[in-house]
Amino acid sequence: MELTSYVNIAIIDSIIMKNNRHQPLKLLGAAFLLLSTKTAFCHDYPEYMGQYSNIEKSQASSDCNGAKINIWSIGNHVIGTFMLADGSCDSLELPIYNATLEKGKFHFESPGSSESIKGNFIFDGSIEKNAILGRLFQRHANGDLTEISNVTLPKKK
Amino acid sequence: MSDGIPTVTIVGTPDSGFTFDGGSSFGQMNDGFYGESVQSDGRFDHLKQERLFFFNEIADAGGDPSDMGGPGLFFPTTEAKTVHVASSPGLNVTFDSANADNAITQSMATAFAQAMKTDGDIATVNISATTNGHIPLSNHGVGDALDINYINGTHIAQGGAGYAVALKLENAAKADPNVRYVEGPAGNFVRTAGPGSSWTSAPDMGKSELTHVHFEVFAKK
Repeated sequence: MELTSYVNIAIIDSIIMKNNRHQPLKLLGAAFLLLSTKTAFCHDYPEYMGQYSNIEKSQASSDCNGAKINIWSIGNHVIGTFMLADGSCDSLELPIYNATLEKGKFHFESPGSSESIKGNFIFDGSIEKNAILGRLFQRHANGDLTEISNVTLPKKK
Repeated sequence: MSDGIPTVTIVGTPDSGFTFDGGSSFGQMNDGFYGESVQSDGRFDHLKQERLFFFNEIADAGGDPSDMGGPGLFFPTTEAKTVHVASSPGLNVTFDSANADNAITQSMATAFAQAMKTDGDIATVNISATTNGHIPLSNHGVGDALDINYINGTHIAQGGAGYAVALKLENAAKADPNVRYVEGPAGNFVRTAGPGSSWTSAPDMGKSELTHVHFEVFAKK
């Protein structure tokens, strides 16, 4: 049990001692303790959620096409990398930010593929059991959005 | 086979007809029969079959299917990689990173400049690959190919504004008689009978969507 939980117990003991004739407050204190303890036990290290990718080489040009996402969860947060293969097979894996994952709905943003083009990428979609599905957009420097592609990224084993 | 890409060895000439060895029971190419394409584990190899079907179409049209290029079938050139693509009056050229700003052949640089001139609406272009991200023994590796992923600040896309700019660029590239192969969301096209010959549609042989335009030139012999 972590330090925060011991602190919580001490605080709740103090509340219960002062209000020992108020049973509802005791229950409230116990519930608070359980929730606090659970929170304290949530992992605060990155837990790998997987790699999702549909990158492949063109047979005729030997160019790489597709996209790849690596994601980790840290508590309620999601971090990761994103790569859009748009020709080169050694495109940078870019950091994702403003990532949210709620009830399967997945959103993130990343820098664009070129260091020279202002704006960024935005992904809106969902994480299914074996794939990430969604739409990839380019947000231009003036805020305009243009869609790049619908993507289906199977989870890699 | 490497990187999951089926390899097909083509033997023959337009006069004798073409046979090919793909490790399966394939037949004569330009007689309309190309047999079964079954992998060692018994699964049907759709990619290989599609590739062979295209080769057969090329052979039926009187072309040389080995001119298709691709993995293991690149075209060595006698040209050195001596030219860096650079901005010019009215055209700002950028790269994904400095890693992409590598020397290419004069033939490829000339084709790039010609395509930009043909499509006079292009003010900025971003290059994602010259020789970077490709094996040395490929048309990129020898400096005869380029990949473009942004035009006028818009990323090449499957639809909308990104598709419109891709279509214009592909058409501009095809207008140059020395361009051999064009690949992008607006279609894949190949010349199999030399510079200035007619274009043949090449099938989309991949599953992933194309978000760039690739074009390459005939190798100097």
